[in-house]
Amino acid sequence: MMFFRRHVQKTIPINNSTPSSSIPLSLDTSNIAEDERESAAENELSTTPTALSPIEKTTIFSNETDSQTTTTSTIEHLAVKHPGLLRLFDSTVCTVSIIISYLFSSKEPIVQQFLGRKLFDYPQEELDFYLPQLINMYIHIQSISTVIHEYITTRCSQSVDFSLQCAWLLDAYIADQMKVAKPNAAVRLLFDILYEKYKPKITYNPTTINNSSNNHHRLDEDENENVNNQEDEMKAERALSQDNLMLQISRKKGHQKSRSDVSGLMLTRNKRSLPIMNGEASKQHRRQPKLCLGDLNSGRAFDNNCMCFENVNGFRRRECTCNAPKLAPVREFMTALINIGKKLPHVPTKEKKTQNLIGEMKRMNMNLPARVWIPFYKFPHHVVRIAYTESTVLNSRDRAPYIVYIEIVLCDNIFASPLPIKQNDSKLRSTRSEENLTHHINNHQIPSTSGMIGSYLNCETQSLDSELIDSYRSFVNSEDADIWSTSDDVTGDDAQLPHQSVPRRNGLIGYRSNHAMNINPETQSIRSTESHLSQQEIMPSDIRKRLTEVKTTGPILFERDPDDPSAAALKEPWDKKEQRIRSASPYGHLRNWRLVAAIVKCGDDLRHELLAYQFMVRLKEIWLCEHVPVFVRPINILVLSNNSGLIEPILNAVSLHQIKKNSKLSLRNYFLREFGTERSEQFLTSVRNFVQSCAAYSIICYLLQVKDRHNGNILLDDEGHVIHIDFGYMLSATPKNLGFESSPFKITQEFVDIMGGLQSDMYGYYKILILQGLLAARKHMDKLMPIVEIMQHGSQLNCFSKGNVTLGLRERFHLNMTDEQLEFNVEKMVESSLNSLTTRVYDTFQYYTNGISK
Amino acid sequence: MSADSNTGNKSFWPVKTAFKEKIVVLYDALLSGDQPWLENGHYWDDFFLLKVNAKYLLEELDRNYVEKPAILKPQLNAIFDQCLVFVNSAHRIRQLNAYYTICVLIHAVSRVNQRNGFGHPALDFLCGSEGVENKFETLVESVNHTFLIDDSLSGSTLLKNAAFDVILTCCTTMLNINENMLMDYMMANANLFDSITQLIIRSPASHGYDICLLLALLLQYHKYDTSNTYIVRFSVFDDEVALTSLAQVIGSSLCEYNKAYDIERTANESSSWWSSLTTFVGSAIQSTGGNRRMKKVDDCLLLAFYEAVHLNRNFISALTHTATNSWGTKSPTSSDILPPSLPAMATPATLMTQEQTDFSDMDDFSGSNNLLSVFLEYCSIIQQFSKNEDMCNTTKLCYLILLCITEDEFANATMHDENVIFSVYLHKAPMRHRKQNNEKNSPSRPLAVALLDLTMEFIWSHMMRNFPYDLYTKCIGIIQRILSFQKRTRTRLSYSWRPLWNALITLLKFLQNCESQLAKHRDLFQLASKIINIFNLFITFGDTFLRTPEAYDEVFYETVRCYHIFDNLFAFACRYANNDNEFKESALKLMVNLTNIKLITHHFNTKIEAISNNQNNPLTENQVLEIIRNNYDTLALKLHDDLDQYDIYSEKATEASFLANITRNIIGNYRRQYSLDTNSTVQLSSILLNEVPTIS
Repeated sequence: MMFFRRHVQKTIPINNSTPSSSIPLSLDTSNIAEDERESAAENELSTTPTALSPIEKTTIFSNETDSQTTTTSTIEHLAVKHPGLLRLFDSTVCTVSIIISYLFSSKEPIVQQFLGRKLFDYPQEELDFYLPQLINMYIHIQSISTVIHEYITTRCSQSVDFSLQCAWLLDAYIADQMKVAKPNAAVRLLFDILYEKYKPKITYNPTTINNSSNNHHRLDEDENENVNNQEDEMKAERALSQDNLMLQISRKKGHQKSRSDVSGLMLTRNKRSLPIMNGEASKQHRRQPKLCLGDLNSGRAFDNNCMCFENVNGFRRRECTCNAPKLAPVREFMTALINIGKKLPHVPTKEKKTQNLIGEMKRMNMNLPARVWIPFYKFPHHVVRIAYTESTVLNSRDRAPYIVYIEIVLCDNIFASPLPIKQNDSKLRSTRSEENLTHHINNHQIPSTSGMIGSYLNCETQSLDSELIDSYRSFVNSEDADIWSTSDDVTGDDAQLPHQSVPRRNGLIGYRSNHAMNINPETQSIRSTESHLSQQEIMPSDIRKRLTEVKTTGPILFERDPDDPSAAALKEPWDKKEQRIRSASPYGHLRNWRLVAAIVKCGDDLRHELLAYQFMVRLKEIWLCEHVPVFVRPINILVLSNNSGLIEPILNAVSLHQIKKNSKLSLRNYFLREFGTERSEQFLTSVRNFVQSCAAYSIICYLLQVKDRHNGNILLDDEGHVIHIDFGYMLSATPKNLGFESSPFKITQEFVDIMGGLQSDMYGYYKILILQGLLAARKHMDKLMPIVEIMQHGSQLNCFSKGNVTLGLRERFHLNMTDEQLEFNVEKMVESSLNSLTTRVYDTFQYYTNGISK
Repeated sequence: MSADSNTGNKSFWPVKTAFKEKIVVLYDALLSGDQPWLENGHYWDDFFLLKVNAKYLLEELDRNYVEKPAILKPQLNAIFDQCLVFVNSAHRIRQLNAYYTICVLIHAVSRVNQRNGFGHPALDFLCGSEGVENKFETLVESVNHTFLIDDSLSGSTLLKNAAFDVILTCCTTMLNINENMLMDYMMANANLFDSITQLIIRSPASHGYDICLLLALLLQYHKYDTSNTYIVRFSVFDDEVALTSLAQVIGSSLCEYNKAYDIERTANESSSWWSSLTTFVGSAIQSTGGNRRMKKVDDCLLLAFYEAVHLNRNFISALTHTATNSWGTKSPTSSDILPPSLPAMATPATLMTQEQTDFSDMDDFSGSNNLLSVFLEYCSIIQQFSKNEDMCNTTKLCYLILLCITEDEFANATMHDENVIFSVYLHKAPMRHRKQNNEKNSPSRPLAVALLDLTMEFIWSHMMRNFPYDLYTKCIGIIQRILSFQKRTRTRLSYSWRPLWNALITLLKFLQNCESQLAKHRDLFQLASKIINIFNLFITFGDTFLRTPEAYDEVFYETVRCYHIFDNLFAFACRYANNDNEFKESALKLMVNLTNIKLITHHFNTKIEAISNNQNNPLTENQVLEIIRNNYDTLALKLHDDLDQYDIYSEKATEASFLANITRNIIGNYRRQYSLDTNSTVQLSSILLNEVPTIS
């Protein structure tokens, strides 16, 4: 009984929103940071068992009533039969990893039952990591599916995100099985989730701070206000501009402002369509607009019509009561992305592909903002816009994976927080060029602020806090004289520099249109439309000199290349890109605005990648805890089906192939060009980074037998780290099964050159790191093996197709070797890799077949 | 309806009169002054069940109007009132016929009143003096309601077409739209705006043309004097979906035209270009099927386009919207219940069909187009024929649109965006001295490049006796706007400027050569000043928008190479500046603007001469460039202020009469082609008949 009681008490916080993780704030406002800390504090609070939300109680009660007897009996049985196991499971050393691996390996129903129950005790994030394993077991092992069914369904009914993840994974892993037999339970579960039998409950408690079920960042209590203000202002503005002149309509409009945001537009549009018979307007009543999920031409493809959280006369519902489909919006969003990816390969040229992509993205944009989110970014957010002109097709021979840059706005609660109002693209940049000129005049001297004001005033008509505007206006007035005086020595480029260092003020930095900052001061002194000569002289030699400087200064930016449109896009530093997009975006002024990116891939099985991701995450943890200073960057994967999915892009990284092609330098020279001279601090750091990451990936490539390591699949980031991508060929799978690349991992003379040659310290360090890394991995091998083992079960993946994969993997840990032997072995592996003929042959092969530089 | 046609039907049956349609009998009775509805309670029910014979009714009305207006008036009023009743009928055939009857009535009255304007007397004659306002409000409301009928209702398209007939008839009662009193009622009922914007989202394919025409007309009414509700509403309209639809309607008909032209052109490759023009125009006027009234790219579409770019800043973002599967408005797969899409679960058969439907889009997909790129191609076609006065007007409208676009910051940014690239094929007028290139697949480039090429092509192809001064001013204005955008934003477009400079220089030369013909009427100096200013922009601000230092050298090279043209121009200006004439001032200004170029040509020419005298061979281009590069240091130029300032396009000041004229032409065109297709009654009844089994 004792166990049981503890079981009740130790409830995990059940969050309906996505679990909180730290938000990567690229621009840190003190405000947000504070809020975050606050929310962290909340989290701690929430783990205390005193505060229980009603839902939790119900779930617990249901547990109690349904299975009280069975639970107790299970535990008693277990206590009798396997006292040691029970002690292990109850001890503090028992981790999720252990639970999962025992769940898989144990054949005894009692143990399985106990573990199925035990799952409830662990933090959700930790278990979410093993979701692919759980799902795979659910599909393939009937006895396990029965014991974890309850856990999965309970979680599904708590969180939309979890439901979505389950649905996607089930979909992906059932696919193989379908050829062989029908796994009824899994299919049923999938359909149940999709038809929302376990309808995720959505609640929203804006005020209760110590409510454990609320896990949001409270970063936007005031932000909400902000949005609301905006909303009102917007409405007021509209009322002014339109209704004034159209009394008739405004009369009808007046009393139904209930549906806010974007949907407000929809409603008004719809409302107008009410039948008007015999010249007498029939009664206006609130009607839901037609549901057009998935129809991109409708403008509301991702709108599920849920209006439960609308602010009605200041009153807000706490819970979603409508029957609107909860999973559909995000699923439709993903489907739309995937469908585009499916069409693209049929478009003839790269250029046309990108063109079409941009067109399609623009069409998507018509349906945004919407209550959709990108599932692998764990902070709650709404997608507000796709920076469509930035999206580009990536290098790939036949498939057309592409990268999209998505503008999001952080929010409190995805379902309850108000969406930003739809803004038109052309809003931010003013229409008539002349309008800007007035703002341009005050641009120099205090370029940062005046530039901001310049563009700020342009969209003054567009919502935004009137307060802010006022404050800026007064600011302008107070320093009037300075602003309006002219000086000629500030060039536009100089003006940018202080700008970037200005602390982020009221969240407005970067919120200035491009042109405002790029003003040539020479033109601004006199205003008249007649051109006439001034007394000033200019020297053409200066002009030409400036022109030459533009060409040669600054880091290498890749030229646009129609055959490789992504190179230029990926090379652009992320913060620059973000700032540029922000300034061009109509939503850029929102404080919570962020830019995220995603690679959409169709036609490739991403389940390998997911496996590699899990493996790398574990390895990273192991190395961290063993203090091995190597660098690995696991790439987050969202598997949407067995042949499509989303990949998290590596920011600020380009492939070695692109580097070589565009810079026409050897890698070492490229390092020197990018990071400075041989003795410079930055160069040395970057080389160290290079070595640390090389070591990590050497180990990973060796352990997982990752193949297809040509230069297009190896990235280099802006700090010198090497990052491997594309784990489509690993374990037993090789490209076309040709058996090239027989070396343990890829290390070429060029890499060694970066390290400083075979005699250098760095090269030695590299080998030491490999040894340390391998030792650490070997020590924690039991955390790594289950990940692969479980996924192999019943799998049709081609990485498990040949031989005993797990046995091979186990052997590569070299359990039987002493440390010295292992050291010798590492030495040997590096040696053979470096001198490997096959690596060179493979690079040559890739060069000739795919044009990827050697 | 027993016998259908009755003309010259010589039957052996002894009949006194020829067979008449029943409706014709009814018309005759009505027009002669009978009041049969007093006896027969169902009279109107029957009346509106019969297919309207528009031709006959129109003729009779015309005749009666002249012969016995006194009798006609009350009858007309009665019919009109009844029409209004049946327009709101739930019976679709009666509704349709009522619409048609109203059309005929209004049209007939407007025809005879053309001279006096469609004012109170005409209205009075049509519907009596009392409650005119209410009546028309009812009419507009019911038209409005018809527009919003759900598409699923069978025959809805026919009804909507009829409703459009009514509303367009109302809008076109007068050639001068400002004299049209009926427009007041449209203005009062701004609901119409909501319904047509709704409609353009729902069924752009079937009603797109009508919507554009209606919108264009509504926006023209009293443009400058009173506040036109539609202008106000349209300029703040921000529904992206509707605007995109509008752009697609315009874009697709332009695209259709381009394709038709292309086919025609390739067919007539061998024959002379003039004959190809004539046959083309001829064939373009013949219907191309598809759209109901779509015969050629009507000016009304361009006018709607113009108003959209001129009034609505939100429309700009729709300009580059790629129409991938234009009309394939796929019905949403999900109704109220959500059928989860499961790729894994789907049987192979359904997968196959899915694939197929995906491929059906592919046609459009590979030839993806956006309004702006299609429009640029269209301009390149139209400007070839600007000798023709009608075409010249169209060209002017096109250039006005381009002018508005280049004044817009966002549009400029889009056109210069290196990510937004399109392959635009520009047609070139065949000229003796250059080769025809027929390569259709030009590389994709930013749209600004295509626009610059278009203006360059215009400059080259229009140096003719009948000099289109106005168009040239607009064309140069467009170039200036693009350049000043680039300068302002430091956008470095990858474009080889040399051909453009050459075109401009040649134009300057042409202006001098044709002085005798042109200078009498036009201020050539003003145009020349604008051209020189473009050079000045390159010379003094090249560092802000040129891509390479070499390009900057080339500016100097070209000016130095053609120094005599500039010299002559200077002399030409001198002549006018020194004696008293109307162009004195602008000639003086031109001389001032030429200062820098004079300095440059003088500076470098002395250097070049000095070197070339030392050697026998003439200098090569590279040698000259070398000289230029080496001698920058000793050259100082004057700074021109406000080179990138231009007068903002203002419609009222300059183009009001032109647009009024265009409107007039559009209305005239509509009236000329006026024909009611009353056969849709038959279609509708057959549709309804087919429906019966499903109901029961």
